[in-house]
Amino acid sequence: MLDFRQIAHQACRKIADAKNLTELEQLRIEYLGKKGIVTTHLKTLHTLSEQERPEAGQVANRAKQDILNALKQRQTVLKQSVLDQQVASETVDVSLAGRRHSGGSLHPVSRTLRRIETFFLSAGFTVEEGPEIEDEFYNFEALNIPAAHPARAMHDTFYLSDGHLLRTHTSPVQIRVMQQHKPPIRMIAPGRVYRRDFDVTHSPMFHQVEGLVVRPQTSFSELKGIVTSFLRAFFDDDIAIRFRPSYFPFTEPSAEVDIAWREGKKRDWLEVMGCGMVHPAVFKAVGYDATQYNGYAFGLGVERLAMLRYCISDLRLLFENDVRFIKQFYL
Amino acid sequence: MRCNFEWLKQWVPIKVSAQALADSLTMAGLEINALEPVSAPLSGVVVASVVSLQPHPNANKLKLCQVESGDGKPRQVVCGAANVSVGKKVVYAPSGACIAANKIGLKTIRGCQSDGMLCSAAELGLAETSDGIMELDDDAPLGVSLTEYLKLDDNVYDLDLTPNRADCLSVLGIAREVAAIHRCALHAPEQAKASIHSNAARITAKVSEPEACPRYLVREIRGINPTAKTPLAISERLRRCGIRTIHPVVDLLNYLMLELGQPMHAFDSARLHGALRVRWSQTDEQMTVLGGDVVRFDKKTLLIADDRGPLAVAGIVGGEDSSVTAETRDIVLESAFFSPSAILGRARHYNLQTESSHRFERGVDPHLQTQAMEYASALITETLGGVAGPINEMLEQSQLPTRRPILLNLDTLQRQLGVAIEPDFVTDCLSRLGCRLQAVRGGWSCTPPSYRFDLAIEEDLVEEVGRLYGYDQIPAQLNDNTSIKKANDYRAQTRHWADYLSTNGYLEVITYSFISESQLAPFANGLDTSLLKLSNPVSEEMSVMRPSLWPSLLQVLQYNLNRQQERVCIFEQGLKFLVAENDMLQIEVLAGLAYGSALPEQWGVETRRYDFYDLKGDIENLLGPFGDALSFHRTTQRALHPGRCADIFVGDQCIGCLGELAPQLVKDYKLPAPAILFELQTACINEIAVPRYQAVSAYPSLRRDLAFVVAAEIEAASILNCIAELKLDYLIESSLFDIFTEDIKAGSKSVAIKLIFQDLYSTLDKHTIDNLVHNIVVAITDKFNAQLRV
Repeated sequence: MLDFRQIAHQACRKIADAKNLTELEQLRIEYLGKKGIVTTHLKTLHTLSEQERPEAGQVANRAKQDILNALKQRQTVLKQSVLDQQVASETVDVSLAGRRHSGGSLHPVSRTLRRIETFFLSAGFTVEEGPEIEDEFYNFEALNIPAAHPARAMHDTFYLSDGHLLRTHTSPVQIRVMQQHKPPIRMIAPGRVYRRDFDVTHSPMFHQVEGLVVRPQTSFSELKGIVTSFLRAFFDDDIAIRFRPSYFPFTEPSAEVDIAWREGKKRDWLEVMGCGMVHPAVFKAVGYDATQYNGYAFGLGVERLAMLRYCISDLRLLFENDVRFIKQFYL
Repeated sequence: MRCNFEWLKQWVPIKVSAQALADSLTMAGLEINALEPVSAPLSGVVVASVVSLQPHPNANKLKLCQVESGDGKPRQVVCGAANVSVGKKVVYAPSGACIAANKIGLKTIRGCQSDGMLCSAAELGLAETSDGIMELDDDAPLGVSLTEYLKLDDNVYDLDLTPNRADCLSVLGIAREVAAIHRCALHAPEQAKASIHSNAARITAKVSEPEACPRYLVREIRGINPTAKTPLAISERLRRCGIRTIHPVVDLLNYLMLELGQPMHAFDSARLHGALRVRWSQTDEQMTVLGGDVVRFDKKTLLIADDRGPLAVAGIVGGEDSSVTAETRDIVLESAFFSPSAILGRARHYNLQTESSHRFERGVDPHLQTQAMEYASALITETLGGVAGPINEMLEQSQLPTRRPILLNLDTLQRQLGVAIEPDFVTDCLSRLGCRLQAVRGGWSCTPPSYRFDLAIEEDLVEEVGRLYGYDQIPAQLNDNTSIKKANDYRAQTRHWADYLSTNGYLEVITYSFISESQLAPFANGLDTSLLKLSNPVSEEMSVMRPSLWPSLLQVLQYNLNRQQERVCIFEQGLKFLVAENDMLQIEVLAGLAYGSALPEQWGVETRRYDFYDLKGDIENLLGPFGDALSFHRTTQRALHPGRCADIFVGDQCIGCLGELAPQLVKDYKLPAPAILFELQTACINEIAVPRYQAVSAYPSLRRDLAFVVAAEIEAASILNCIAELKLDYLIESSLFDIFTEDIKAGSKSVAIKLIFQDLYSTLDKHTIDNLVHNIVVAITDKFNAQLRV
């Protein structure tokens, strides 16, 4: 009669030493397989006497159970180690650069335009567009700038041979919208504009956003409200803003808007917008009854705001289109 | 307009600092561009006189001067100026004095001691350049500091006046504003009148165009001293206000213009022939203006003429022939009111913008001419001597501009400004501005002063009250005027396209809308004659409105390649400009260019050049919403490779094209490899329909792959179209997933097609699908003479 305890003890030791799952399987077969040591000897139990059988059976079953437990335990350990090895072999260098497209970007002037549009859209303005080649009527006359008016000297105009011109501001869009719609009007018109001026601080093409509100009743105070809210939202800051009397032929009263700007130690007022109450002559040009409505208009230079927002010191950078420059503007 | 603080204070005695005054003017609408000191800081620099002169023993060009500055102790100064002479009053900086940051010391010059220096105007910061040392008037008090003598403790304002405020183009005008803003009285300095010499001749003049010149005053002054000089106090003020000194008569008239705002002109009597006439120019008349340019009057222009012809362009510039010179002894002064409409535009037309035209075209006070004539005569006779004749005035009262009363309604004022301004404030404010007021029901009848050409309607008065009330005192209010607007889908979609491209490696650029004609040549598809050209371009480089964005994008490519950038993927949104049958088209497009490696060079990815299909993939993604309506068709474009370019169609409408840059252009642009280009007309966005929901099947789909050998020239799209035209049930996707020519007979290619079948309501059985696939095989083999590969 074999000593099951001894068999179990020996088996457990071998199992604990098994180096891999294959060895472990061989041990399982050696002890518990159909022809395994334990299986074979269990079959001999019936040869024992009635008195001996129960105790011997108990011992044998416990030994079998011990071996099974040892196998299971060892299997868990070995499986884990296989996984560990796999994982260890699959480790990558996380510091290597990811596989990718190079990131593109929008032009800073576009980003600025979007920021401006987003504000005015949220304030209930529509976004309108108009042609860049205009005529004297839309660009000047309807805006109360008759021929030879000294204010035309403020707009150095590009002319095409047939009397058309490149719009010098986005204000003509006001006229086009008013001709097509009755009040109330609440719009902005972003776009390219052109002036015959080319030096360090002037580009012959730049961008403006024009705004117009026409209602039965509005006021300079409301104009101040919307312009102030816009500038504070744009600059994310409770900046100081001042409205200074000025002159535009198409508004009366007119104002220029300055913001307090700090550059290094220097603090100065910077002109960023023009605005005013729509001049009755403009209403007359589009066939509105100036006694029934009043309105306000404003205009801003997009490049100026873009340069302030991104701390760009030279206007010319905006139109050089150096990819190393444009890549920088992710927001 | 420049104006110095000291001169201004003479007219309006205010107590505030120069800076505080600048701020208040800016906030009242007279923008101060700059506030500058009138000279370099000086200390210890005094008035002195040259007592004696000796040649320098060791230098030919230097002199030893004994200089005395009031203390009776002459000091020796070495001086090299040619104009130093005994008895002359000069500016002396003794050792210890400071000019700007320079401290003057005792020096030995060529062996002789020099106790300080005699200064030139340039050295003192009083002139750009100077010839010799500065000469002071003979009555300059010895020993007095130059700062005190010339009132150099002064600042000059540079005003950026808006075109409506012609009334502020003078010290008087600015002083009026200051008085109104600071609520103090205007204090006009006393002006002497020239005594009239009864024997003097009466100069005659005839105004034949009274509507253009309602008031014209002339007076002759005889016997001026041609050697007299412009007094230093006057030339200093002129300098501070940015006017050069030319000739004493001209200087004094400029001085008067700066002070009162009335431009005047002086003729040399000896060079006039017959009576003066104010008349319109005649066809092809011409004259030589001051400065020597010949002007031909090709536009109706108001002239001052005599029997022999034009003498001056009225209100703009004088003629060379009748101008005062160093020999002039008798002069004729002119003081006129020209109507702005008679002057407007002419100066610009002839490119003769002057201080005078600037004022006349904006409007000079029509009641100023007599006062100006008297003041000018007094200034001239006091300084240059001479006797003044009587004033001859031609006046057409009915043609003088009149200021009509304007009704100002208190309610309108308050509504426009959005603030409740007290009636008393309005009365006070408009009166201070020189308006005559009369109370009427609900407001005022307000007559503006003669010099305020800009006050014509009620809104003008609203602005006047608003600006004196203070724009900063008006609250910034947001009314809850809820306004809900339809979203602008077009703009949202163009933004989406820009976003797509920028997240897929493209950079957005903004280039000028005008380009050079030569830049355009390779792109012109017979468009040459119908280009939109600027008549006044900045330069030839920017002279044509671009009919395509590609030349600009290629220029950006070159710019970046020249800066060692090897991968340039860019796009731009903007207008292109075309002429079609006399119609000007401004078409909004999105255009792009891709050049370099398809992906940035990186580990683990084979580097490959960006090609036609990379770009086409991006376009297909952009235009995805068009679904099956989108198609690409072979085309030709002069700028593109004939075998590698396609028109982009949505339905039967061409919305753009893409392709590889033509080999010839690759050479012309000196590109190491071809660039791929595209252009889309963004108007097609309006054709995008809102997607309609399609049911998604709960049953499994089945895939079948087919491979055919077809002739190499058969386009992939035609095979897929052939399948689509069968309109088979259950076929939900068909696409070409592989193509190769290896191991296939020459002139043929193998195409592999993926077919996906699925039903919404059941699992498809094999038999059904076999039938469908059979139909496809038959159709393709028949149509393309294809062979099915098994």
